Amino acid sequence: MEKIDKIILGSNSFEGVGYLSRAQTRHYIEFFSKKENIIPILEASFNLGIRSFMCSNNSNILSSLEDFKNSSDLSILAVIPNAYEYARESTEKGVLGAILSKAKKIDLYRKVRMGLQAIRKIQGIITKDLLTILTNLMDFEMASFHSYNVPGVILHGQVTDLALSSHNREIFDVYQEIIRERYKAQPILATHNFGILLPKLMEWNIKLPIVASFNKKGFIMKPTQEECERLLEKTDYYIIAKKVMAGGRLSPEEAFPYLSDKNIGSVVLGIGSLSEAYHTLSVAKSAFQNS
Amino acid sequence: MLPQDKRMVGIIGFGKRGILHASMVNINPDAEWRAVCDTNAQLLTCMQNFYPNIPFFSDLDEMLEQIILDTIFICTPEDTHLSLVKKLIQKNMNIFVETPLADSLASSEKMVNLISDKDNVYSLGYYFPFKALFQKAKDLLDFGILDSVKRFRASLYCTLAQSSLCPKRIIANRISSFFHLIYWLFGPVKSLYGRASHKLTEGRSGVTLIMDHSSGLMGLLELSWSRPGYPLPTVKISVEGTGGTLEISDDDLKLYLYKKRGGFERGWTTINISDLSSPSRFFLSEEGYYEGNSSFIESCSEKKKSAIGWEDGLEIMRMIEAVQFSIDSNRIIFLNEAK
Repeated sequence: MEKIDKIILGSNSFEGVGYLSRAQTRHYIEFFSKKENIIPILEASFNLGIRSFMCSNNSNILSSLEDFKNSSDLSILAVIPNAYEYARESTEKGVLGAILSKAKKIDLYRKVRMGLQAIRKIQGIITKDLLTILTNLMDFEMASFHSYNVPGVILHGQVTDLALSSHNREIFDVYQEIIRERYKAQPILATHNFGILLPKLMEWNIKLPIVASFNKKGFIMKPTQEECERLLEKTDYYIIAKKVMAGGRLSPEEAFPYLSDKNIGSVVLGIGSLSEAYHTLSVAKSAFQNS
Repeated sequence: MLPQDKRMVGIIGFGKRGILHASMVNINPDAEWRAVCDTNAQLLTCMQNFYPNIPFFSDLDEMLEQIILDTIFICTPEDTHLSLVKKLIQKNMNIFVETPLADSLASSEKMVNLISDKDNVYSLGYYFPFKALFQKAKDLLDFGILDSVKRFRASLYCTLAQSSLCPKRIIANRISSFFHLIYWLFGPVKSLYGRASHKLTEGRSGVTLIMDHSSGLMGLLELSWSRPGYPLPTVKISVEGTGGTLEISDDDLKLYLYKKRGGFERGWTTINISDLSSPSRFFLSEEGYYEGNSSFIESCSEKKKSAIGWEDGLEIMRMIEAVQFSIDSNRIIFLNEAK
């Protein structure tokens, strides 16, 4: 497995995903709809030595990466599929309608950049089965990242957890095979249900890095905080902690001491403003240098 | 647990909610998802190899004939609920219906009448009572933290697509969930008066309501599903009592007390959503879904009344019809008129 950086910049806030309040979510959606507000945070992170960026193919993020002068020096950990966008659209258009709608919305410029093959695949999915859809979705979404260095690809938490509840190991096998064979990248799984996913992966003998919630408030640590911590202590899986500040309810100074004695390889940190970038990332760097 | 102790579950309707319920049943040790039925053959073909061990049917009769089931989740549009229930009642099933209960008050009444002499569990998908923050608000109000409650103001804002793109059932679902929250927190409504510029379920609309509850409590409600800047449905409720105020939102509770009471100090206390631990052992999509789903399964296993019953759904349909009646006639409607 290629080494994963200790500190990874996350993109939830850039995609309008917030956990603190509805007001914060509304602010993120408006504020980060302008790439002029994303690029300074990418620059600040880069200046602080952060070289890994975990993001989906959200159009604002892709536009920001295109304009960010150091994007070729970044390791992109691509999150696929862009589940939040599908979830929002599927409320009004249905699950398949949302996927098709996404394909139709892509402008000509991006279609040329992505390649016609990826577009054809997404347009033909309606007649196929879900596993084929998922593989085509992977191709479709990965096409957005073709000009970047992508050492790792993360299956979105909602999709991982849906696959976990299906008890169908083939989904995980297909996923890791495609990411390894076709994209020569490290497959990674995100989840909100670490304490259920890890035992299942061990039973299936599937060993992949896992992105999971770990914070001292137990925020979205399922089935329980205690069970997640017990499994974390003993596991030899590579764990990337997310929601370490409990969705913004802990300051960096409160959050990082909890992680210091935990068996955690990396942390992914979402940033909502320029001042937050300097504050959070500086505290994180200091905490990890001392650990 | 012996297999016969598990609820044997079938799902009817395999859209977003059907997939969610199937997934949650599949993770519940007290239940076994055994079959799914949807008339959209294209969708079934699409989903089949994601769930290789689950038989997929496009004909309900075939599913009921071929698979042994005791519990059904109906996740189809509300105008199908009555006809499906008529068929399932004969098969002696526990039934969970996604909201609203039906497409009209008349259909809802028929559904409730159909189960009046049945012993199975009949529930429906209202999820606010299963969210830890709203449960805490309910506990505080039931405890009497505000002493005598006098009035409340409540709002539901969201931004949906233009009416031509936004199915009425989405609006109907949001209205009915919000009304259930009000009903659950403050009890039955005696009368109401509503004003709106459009039909209740039209996309570019908002409604203002005054509600008198049977308890004597008065409420002022505002609903809008075309309010700019609300990409997520956003609830706010402010309750005033002789002992203080309680402000309830999706994110936190803010309690102001004139004097120390129930373990809370005088002045403001804020309880954030992250301060309350959700008892849920699984998270998919949103807090409340797994809790609502597993609460129904537990009721079926223990043969006890579900936390939310079809009678509650009928009361919500009465509220919805009364609101529309009030808007159309520009007068106060007493809910017993809608019965």
